Amino acid sequence: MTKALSIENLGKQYRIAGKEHFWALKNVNLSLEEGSVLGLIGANGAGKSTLLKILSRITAPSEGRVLAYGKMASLLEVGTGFHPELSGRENIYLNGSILGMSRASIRKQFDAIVDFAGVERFLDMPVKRYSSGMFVRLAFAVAAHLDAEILLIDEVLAVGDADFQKRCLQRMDSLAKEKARSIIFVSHNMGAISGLCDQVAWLDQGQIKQIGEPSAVIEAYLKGLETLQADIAIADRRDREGDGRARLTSLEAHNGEAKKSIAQNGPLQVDLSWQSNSEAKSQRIELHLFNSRGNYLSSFKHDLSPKQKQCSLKLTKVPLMPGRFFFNVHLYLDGIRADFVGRAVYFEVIGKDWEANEIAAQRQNPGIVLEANWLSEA
Amino acid sequence: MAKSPSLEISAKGSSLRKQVNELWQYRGLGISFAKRDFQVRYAQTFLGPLWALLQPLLSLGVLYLVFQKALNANTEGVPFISYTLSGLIFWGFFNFNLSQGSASLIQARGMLQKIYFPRLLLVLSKSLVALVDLLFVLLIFLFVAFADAHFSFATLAGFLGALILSLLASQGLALWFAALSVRFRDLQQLIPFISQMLFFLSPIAYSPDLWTESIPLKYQDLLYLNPMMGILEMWRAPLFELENLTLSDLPWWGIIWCFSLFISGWIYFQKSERKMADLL
Repeated sequence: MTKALSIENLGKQYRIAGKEHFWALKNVNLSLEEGSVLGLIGANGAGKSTLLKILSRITAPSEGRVLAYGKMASLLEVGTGFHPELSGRENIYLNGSILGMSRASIRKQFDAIVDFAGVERFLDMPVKRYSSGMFVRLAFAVAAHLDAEILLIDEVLAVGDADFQKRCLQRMDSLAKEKARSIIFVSHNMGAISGLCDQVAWLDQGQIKQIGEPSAVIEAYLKGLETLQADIAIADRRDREGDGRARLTSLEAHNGEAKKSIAQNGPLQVDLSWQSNSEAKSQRIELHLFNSRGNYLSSFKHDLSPKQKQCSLKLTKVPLMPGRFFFNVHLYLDGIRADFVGRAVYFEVIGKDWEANEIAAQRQNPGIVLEANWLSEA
Repeated sequence: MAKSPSLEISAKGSSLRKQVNELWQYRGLGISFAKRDFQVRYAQTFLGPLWALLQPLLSLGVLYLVFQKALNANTEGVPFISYTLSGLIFWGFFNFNLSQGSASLIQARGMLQKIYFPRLLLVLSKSLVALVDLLFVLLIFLFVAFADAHFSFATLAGFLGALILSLLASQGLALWFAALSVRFRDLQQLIPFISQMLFFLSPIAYSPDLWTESIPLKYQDLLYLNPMMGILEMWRAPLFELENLTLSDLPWWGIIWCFSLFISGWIYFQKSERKMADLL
């Protein structure tokens, strides 16, 4: 195995508002083998983009170093440097050279790029007249034909339709496997990460928390996301959104006796209270139910008079499979979101027999139990 | 078998040799930038590249009305049109580099946050565009002022000297302004003003005597703080046979000033390059 990239003791310090210093990255050590794909995962602000920016030389590190064995190219966003007034043909050359290709190698790849993007008929039209789908396809096509040995890719797949995304993933896969390109891939899409990567590194607060085989790291990351947020009281949560006119101060899920763990098909109550300093005319609470994988299951909405500062949601019967679930909470004042807390409260559904619980623990993707009967003649 | 790394990224900056090497590696991109500027410039205009000929002619017309008809400016005995056109050749080049180069980083900020390439290219590539413009004006000049001009080896040397000096001075200023305007956006407002001021302070449509006669002899070298002074002197002296410049008569202070603008601009630009993406 030959090394393609080695990151040694890398750190990046930012200065906020002139005084405070903070390390966006600290003591990061990684290495990438030739022809392998390394996935980077982590919460927003964990340092993934900072790491990519250093690797792609957009910003300089504060300490440590990176050694690259081969030409490196970054795709932090497809279509960077495209000029709307220029034609597709001219943009292929311009974008190719911005991404570090020589004119000769662009010429060699030209037909393949056009073919991949499927824009033959529009080659001499200014790209400002392209549909957004065509634009993205052309942009990715140029990027996908880079002759660099090391590719840095950030959420490229967030664009385009499902069919095109699939082709992008296949292209990345074949670049790594057939052409021995080494890839660092950053994404929030755990499906893409586990499907493409040979190795996954989990960044947490600027440091590498875990690195290894994809499924193990992804599992640990998702679990960590849960415990991290479940352990913080809602009033102390910093990662909230909304304009701040109101703030949720307490939130609890229980069944009257036990907190956080409820029986399958038993009752569940969620108590909420909040503060607001605004003279809103109306308030609305929305609770969205997800399973531990982050798959959406159901919603509950409630309109309140402006004076109320607390309410409860009571579910008489919870037909969920055994496993962990959580609610996202939105609080709207006059129809505009004032507060939002993701994964605000967790609860555990316990089944009646241990076998079901065991399966649920392994599957980690619990769903809904629907009442039904099989109709079949003996 | 340990391969040696082809790239090292660290907190330290790179040496001048590496910088120049890298610029050479990326030369294709510099040409692409210049090409893009050309292709975009006259997109969807009716007259297209004809504008490159029309613009200098139009400004010549205005200058004729103001400086010749209204003010009857002294042009060292050379016909006004020829004299002014000879100045516009280099002023256009200088001004394009200065104003376009200064704005180039802010204009390309989207790219600067996404992709690496030597940032210098954005500023330097403007010179290629400016050079083509210069050739257009030179063409007009050769048509219009052929009878008034004197062509000799000295004229060619004067032309090349003036070209190099205006390249160095305008690029030097542009490098300073481009790097500074990332930090201080106010400069974006100031640059059109600076360019306008420089135009009126430069002996383009009038003789430099206007300045030399009104300033005491011992302070006259200060006039070379305006790079256009030295540039135009070097170019016009042999062209119109105004004076016989020997080596010691060359505007040395002007030359030194142009070089130091470029060198200091380069150094400051490279120093701030590493922080640019964080500031934009």
